[in-house]
Amino acid sequence: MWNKDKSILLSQILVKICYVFVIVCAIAAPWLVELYEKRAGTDGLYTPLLATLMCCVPPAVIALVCLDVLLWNIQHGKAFVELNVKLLRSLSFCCFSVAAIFIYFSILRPFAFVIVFAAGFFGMILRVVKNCFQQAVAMREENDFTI
Amino acid sequence: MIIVNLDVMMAKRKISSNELAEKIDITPANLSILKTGKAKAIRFSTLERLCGALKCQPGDILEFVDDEED
Repeated sequence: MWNKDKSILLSQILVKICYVFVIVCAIAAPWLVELYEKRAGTDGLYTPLLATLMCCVPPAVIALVCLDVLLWNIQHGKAFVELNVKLLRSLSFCCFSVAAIFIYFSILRPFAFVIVFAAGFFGMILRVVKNCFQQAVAMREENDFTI
Repeated sequence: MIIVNLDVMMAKRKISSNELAEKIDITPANLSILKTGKAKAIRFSTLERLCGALKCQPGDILEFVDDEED
């Protein structure tokens, strides 16, 4: 039977898979970029694309750590706490930073603007979720301190 | 702001925290939150039980102090 605990476990597994994916991509980035250049038949993209991808690794890792901590908190019944608001804020900043990093590459390759838009849009959604959590934390605190 | 003068009333009635908590059926931890002024709100039912146990009026426990008044 599908339940809340299994749902959290599935999310945790997905986060762990993403950890592996990000690390593998970071290590194999030079080879992957070279492969992309050969397949696309473009020249002069190697350095900017590799630099863009490598710059995206720190925000990706930070975002995954934030997700991991967030899921751990939710698993332990601490969903509406101030720390989760901070984690969601960090997550949205990670998305915005990826969008900012990709702006340069989207000048070279306009299709990359899709990534800028997608990352920016995710960041915006996360900010709204963060605002909801902030409100929920305030309500929980008020409820806890109503005697 | 609202000041909670619960400790004053408790001293007047010579009643301990644990005794009062037991009488009004709340945990000593919650009574401590009330006494220290950390509470954000108080239920009418709790106030009613407090007034009943301490034989006083709500005004004896709660006091309004104007913040802007210096």
